[in-house]
Amino acid sequence: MNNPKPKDLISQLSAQGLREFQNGHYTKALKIFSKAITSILDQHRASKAQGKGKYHSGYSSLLDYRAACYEKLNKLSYVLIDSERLIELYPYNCKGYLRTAKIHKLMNEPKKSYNVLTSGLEKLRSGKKKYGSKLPINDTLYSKMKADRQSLMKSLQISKTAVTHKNVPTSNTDPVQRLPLEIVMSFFAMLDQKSILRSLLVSKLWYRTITSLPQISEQLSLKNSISLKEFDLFLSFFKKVNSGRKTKLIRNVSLRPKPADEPSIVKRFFTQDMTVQKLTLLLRNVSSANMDKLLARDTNTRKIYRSMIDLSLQISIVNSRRGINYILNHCNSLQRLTLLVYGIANNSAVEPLDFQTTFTSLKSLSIYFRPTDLGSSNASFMSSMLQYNSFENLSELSLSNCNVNPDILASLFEKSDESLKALKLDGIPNVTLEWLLAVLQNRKCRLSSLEVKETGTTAPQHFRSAQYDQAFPLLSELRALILNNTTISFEGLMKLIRATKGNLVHLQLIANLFLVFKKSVFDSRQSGGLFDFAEFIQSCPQLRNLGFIQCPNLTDYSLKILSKELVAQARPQQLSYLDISSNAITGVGILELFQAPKCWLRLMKLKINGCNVHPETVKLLTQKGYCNEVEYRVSA
Amino acid sequence: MPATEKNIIIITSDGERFPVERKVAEKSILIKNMLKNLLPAEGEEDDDDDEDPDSDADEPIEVPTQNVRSAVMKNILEWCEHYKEIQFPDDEQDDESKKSAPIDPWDKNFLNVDQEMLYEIILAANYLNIKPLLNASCKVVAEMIRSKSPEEIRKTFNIVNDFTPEEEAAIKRENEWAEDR
Repeated sequence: MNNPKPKDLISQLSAQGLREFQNGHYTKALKIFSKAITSILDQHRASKAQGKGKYHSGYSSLLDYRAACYEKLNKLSYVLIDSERLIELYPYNCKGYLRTAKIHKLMNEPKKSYNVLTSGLEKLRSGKKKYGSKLPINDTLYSKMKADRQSLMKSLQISKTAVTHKNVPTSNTDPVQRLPLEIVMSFFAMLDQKSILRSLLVSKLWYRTITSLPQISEQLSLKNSISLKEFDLFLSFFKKVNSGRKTKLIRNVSLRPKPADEPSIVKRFFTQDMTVQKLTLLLRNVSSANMDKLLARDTNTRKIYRSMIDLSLQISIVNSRRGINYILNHCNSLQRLTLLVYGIANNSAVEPLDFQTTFTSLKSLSIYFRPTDLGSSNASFMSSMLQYNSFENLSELSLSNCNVNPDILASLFEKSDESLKALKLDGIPNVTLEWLLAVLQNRKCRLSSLEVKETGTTAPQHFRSAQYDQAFPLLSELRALILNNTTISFEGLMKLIRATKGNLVHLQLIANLFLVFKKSVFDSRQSGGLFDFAEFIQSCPQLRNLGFIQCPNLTDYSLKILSKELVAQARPQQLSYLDISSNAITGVGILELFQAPKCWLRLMKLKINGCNVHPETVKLLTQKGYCNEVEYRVSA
Repeated sequence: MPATEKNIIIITSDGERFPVERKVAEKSILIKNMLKNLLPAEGEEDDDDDEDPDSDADEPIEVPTQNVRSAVMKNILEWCEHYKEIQFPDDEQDDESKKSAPIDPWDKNFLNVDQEMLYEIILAANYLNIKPLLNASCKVVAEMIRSKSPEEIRKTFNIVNDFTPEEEAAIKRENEWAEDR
């Protein structure tokens, strides 16, 4: 294969760089010139090894071009590196002297500037004497050097007295001035918004430099309940920072407009020419109907929707001609979607079906309704949402208070069978843990996280039926389990925990009616049905995060037994977060957890909200080093 | 040849010579690429008919670095020496997690130098293309700015405030959109 001749490449780069320079793209031009120079230096090094010592003929021009770029970008110390090199290598080229002198002048060093021109003129004069007309010297530039030197001479004499009382230290420690723009950019990119905005006030140079870095406007944290006036200020800041950038990009922004200004802010935001990767938009007045009207009208809106990867939208759903599916239809790049339904119109008309979307990249879907909105509108919304759109690769599904028909849910599981990893079903009517496990048991998915909050089941769930005999392959990779308000029995729970083969890391048990603890030594109920800490601790040695919240009969006595088992089995050693909120326990039982003989338990965080604990005991827990942090509120 | 032989000589802008091992020098991607052309990797044969091929192989390679003075190079090489056994992943795109990770304690101590030296290290790391060092030293600068008031920043870097009070107030107004200024 023939490589392109390097010489051609350099002239090509040089021409390309000049074009960018003329169009005002100095950073781009700088990169191109640097590339050309690097390749000249590489060539030179290679040829030096073969005994030839000449640089590429374009080198002097490229050095000057690059210096010009640095000058435009206000990297004065960098200009000097190139312009001084130019003088060193091409002592008969006026450009090196002129630019070096100019930069010294800009840096408020007129004396240096004068010296550069003086020695330059001397060199050129001796050259003329030596080589005569054979030496090509640009006469225009030569006379400019003379003129500049003349004017410097004058100003130096005049300001001689003025300079003395200006006691400015010579070493320049301003990083924005000292360091090249790409480095300035990289340390501002490491800073939070607050620090960046404060930096704007440091000096004019800082303000000018920072507002020329579009990267600083990619992660934005806007004021909560922002007014239209403030939002307009944001837009002009955003435009200023992004001027000259072809695609204006916001990586992450969260917007919660002041209710009165919501319509105008939403309209302004969605009509900007920009792309947005992650958007959190919390609305109370603007409804899905307003949103889809905007979408139908404006191409910028469509562009924003198309660009979104992660959308969290709080909105009220109103039936409209096109419906929410029309909005989602435009969000075909989404990987995460979180819908917080802030009220739904009481009219139960089914959403129109003309906008069906196949979400191929969507990995995570969360839908939240308010518990009071569990009516038929909710049901029809959920069925049009889940039935008519197609979700193929979901790995996380989280539904809260959604009135979704279990059959629709089952067919959704079928579609995203192998990919499903995390499942949260919170308050879904007629969905029980038992139903869920039965539906998923024969599927290929292996859950890593499962959270279920049941509503209105009554019979205890033991999982005794024969279909659970192969130890739940479904749960073999489970790391997190949260059970809230379920009717699982201790026998059922142990079956689930054993299915994880000892790998469970996170377990929260909240208000499960049939998970009953032994109240005291005298509790005479059948021990078979009660919570058995010995068996429990044995089957989850990897636990890091454990919660027993609002558990029936969980008392100081239960904590004593827990403590005894922790000591006896010396595990789970990783346990560092414990939540025992909303139980009938006192400081005595809590201290027992840490003070029993040979107790090794030390926690990162302990939560005891709503327990009856004396504030002094809470203090003691951290003072003694039992816990790094204790969360305690009197009511849970 | 023994693996630890210091057969690369780095020459600084002020003419000082630093003999180093190849793997130390190659922490600089600039030098690494340069050596790739000059010095065939171990085991590669040279086609030239030299009378004594061995004498050529033992000759140290000189690497001139025009932009770095010896005091700075000394620091740079100390860093390279410390990390010589560590392979840094050479992914180009900046990783969010890498950006937000705290500065390595050794680096932090190593970069506890005056500002002038810090800037020269940054410029040298940029020129020599030593990304992890550049990244760590930029973090040090970022930490000098983080959570400080404009006046504190000015004091840190000896910067003169050239805003009028009116201009300052105007910029503050411009930023009224921001959460927690």
